[in-house]
Amino acid sequence: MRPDDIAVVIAAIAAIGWVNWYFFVAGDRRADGRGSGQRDRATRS
Amino acid sequence: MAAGAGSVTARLAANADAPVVRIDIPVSGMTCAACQARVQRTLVRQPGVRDAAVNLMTRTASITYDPKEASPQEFVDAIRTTGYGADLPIDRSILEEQEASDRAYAEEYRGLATKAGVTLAAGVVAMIVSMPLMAPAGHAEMPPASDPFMRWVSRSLTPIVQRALPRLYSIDPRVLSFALLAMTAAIMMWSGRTFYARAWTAFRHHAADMNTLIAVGTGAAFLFSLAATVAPSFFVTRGVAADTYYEAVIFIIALVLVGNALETRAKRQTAAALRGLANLQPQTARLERDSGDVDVPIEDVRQGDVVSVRPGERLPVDGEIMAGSSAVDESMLTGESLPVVKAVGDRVIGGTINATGAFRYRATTLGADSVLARIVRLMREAQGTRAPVQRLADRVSAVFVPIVISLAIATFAIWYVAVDTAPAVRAFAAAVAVLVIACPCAMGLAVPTAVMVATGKGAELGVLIKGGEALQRAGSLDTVVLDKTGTVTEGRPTVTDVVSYDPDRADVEILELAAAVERRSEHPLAAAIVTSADGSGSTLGAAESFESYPGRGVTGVANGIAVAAGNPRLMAEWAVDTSAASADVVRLAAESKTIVLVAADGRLAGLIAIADPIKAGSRDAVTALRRMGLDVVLLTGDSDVVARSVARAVGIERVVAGVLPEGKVAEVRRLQEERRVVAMVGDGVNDAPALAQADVGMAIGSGTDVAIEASDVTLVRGDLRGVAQAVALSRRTMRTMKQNLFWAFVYNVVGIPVAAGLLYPIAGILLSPILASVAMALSSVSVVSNSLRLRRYDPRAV
Repeated sequence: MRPDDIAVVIAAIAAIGWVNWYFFVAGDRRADGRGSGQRDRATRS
Repeated sequence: MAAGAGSVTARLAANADAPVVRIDIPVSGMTCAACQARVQRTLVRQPGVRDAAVNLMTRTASITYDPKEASPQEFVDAIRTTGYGADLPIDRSILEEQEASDRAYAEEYRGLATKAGVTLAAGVVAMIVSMPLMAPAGHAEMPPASDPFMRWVSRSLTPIVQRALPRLYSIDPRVLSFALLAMTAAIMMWSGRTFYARAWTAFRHHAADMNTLIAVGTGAAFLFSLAATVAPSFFVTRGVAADTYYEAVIFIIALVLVGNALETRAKRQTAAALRGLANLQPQTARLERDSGDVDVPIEDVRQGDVVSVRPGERLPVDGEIMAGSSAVDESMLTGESLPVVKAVGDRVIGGTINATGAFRYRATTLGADSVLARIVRLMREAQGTRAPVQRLADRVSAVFVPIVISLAIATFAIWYVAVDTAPAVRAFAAAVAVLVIACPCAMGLAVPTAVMVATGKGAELGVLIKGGEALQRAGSLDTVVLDKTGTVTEGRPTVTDVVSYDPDRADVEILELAAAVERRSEHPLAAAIVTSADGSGSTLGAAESFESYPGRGVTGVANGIAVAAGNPRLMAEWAVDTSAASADVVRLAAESKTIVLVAADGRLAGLIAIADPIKAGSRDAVTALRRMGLDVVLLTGDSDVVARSVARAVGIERVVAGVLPEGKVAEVRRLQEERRVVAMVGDGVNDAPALAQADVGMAIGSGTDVAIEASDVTLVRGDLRGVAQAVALSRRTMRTMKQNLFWAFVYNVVGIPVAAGLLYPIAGILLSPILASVAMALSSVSVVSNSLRLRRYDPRAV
């Protein structure tokens, strides 16, 4: 294994984690009105 | 805390009483199930919205909301924030709406086709220009292009390009790279703009769709190429080929656009049946006025106006014939191939064609209430509905895109670690291929396109199917319950036999005498006798005196003759000797006919037998249903004897007789408890509860009286063969849907691993991003084409 392989693998795991968090966890929270979406609406109104 | 909870309860209670309004808002720019789901989610979350259903095929959002809490403009704004187009609906007729939707499809197709054409041409130019860059001579120290497709293209085209454009190879590779960069940026901004804009809006809403995949795929390829162009030494010093993917970016955009264009065209074709129906409406009507006949626009026709029609003309509106007679071709609405004879008093439908005679008729239903507009409206609603089988596709496409992005990242990492030479480039190509090949478009189209084509096909045959759910249930039927009166039989008692026992009186006179007294009766049997007498040219008016004996018959004096018409009991009361008729009475009763004995001046004159004749297609229909493996049950309120004789005549073995309307519901429920999937076929008026209880309620119309709102399936033509056609069409459609879903899933299940390079270690097969985009475009097109095959299916052959 090359030294940058480890960096790539770690970066990939982090990226996958972030993608899933962003679209599923944060997305669901927003759909339930608990996330940033609700704050957006509150600020606007 | 308690106060807060109380106010919530109060608000909910108030909401329950508040009147809700439904509005249909046209939405543009949706391309797949994920787009549709996103718009729908946004709308459901709007304050005041009770329900929202977004339809990908008809491109409308149907929103039920409380007008006190929300306004249509807010919905339009909300849809626009998701990145799709929306406008307030314009108040127009259903036919105009259909035209507008056709125009929108045509415009969209033109736009997409132009962009696809230009982008494809740009792709070819980019490929030629990048030839010198890919040639090993271009950067001798580097391995040739890592994209296998491009490598193949490069190998086979280089000699040709070298011969045709030798000067291209003398240009500085850096200049060529920058030229490609400029061209790609221009294409991305012009033809790819919508993908990036929509992907970005989706991303801001924590959502991902097909646009996300294309945007991330091409965006990553572009950024990689940009870096390779601007700072090639950075790559070269690290032993990585400074490959560019400009032509791939352009080709991916071009091919996705080609796919979208073909898809739009195919979607337009799926609505062909609907367009055909909408086009049936003539634009003008010839009205009879004091000054003579005048042509007026169809909008100016009022109820009660007298319309004049000549042979060969299309009837402009629905109405009732006042003078003249003709044969009218109603095939476009009822599927009935032979022209139908129409005379004074008969109802005619707007949009049908007058074949032979000229006639005048009074306009009855107009505009949105007309039969044609109602059929078109029902079809539009039906075509947009979703079949339950689609839920699987919906669930998958909702989580699909983030999973694919994850897979693409994993692909990159694995390739990077596993490959020794130029790991970043190979890893990159595989990751982009994964992103590009995976698109939920085909999954989103699998069911709606089939629903659309099938409901359109049904409409052509006079079988109106109310949407995907009805189609799916009709496809899984195993039992068909037929109501007798008006469904298997005509529902109109008709005189079948007339026998004279008086040598001085002909059959017609018997009928005439009976009609004279029955003319004043309101009994249904009386109507049959009077109609028959009138039909045979009776000139005898109503009897001078008349008396009715409920349950027995009528008596009166007609033309100086004392007439009694009724059952044997009445004859006995009148001391009439009926022995001459006894053999006929026994014979006709066995055929379950109702017998009316006629006496003149105290002596038996004759006998009239009345029956409800079996409809022409009933026997064929029952045979077809049984051949399709369906159990056929005859259900009726009539006596067992009558029911069995009808059942025998049409070939039904299972009979349930003597049931009241509530009993019909119970019978259907009982069959359902036996785990049968039951269709109830009835006239839609008396049988409404049983139709509602059945898994599929089929209302049988009589041409003009289309009870299309009442049932799952409406047979416009009052012919039972439509039942078999509806079942056959539904079964075929379900098969098409399942094929579509299967291929859409298999395509992704196979396509993604191949794109990720799973076959590389085994067979050395690696999928280029360009080939991946070809596969993606093909998958959508193949699903839509498979649905379009339904257009050629003819269920009449069952």
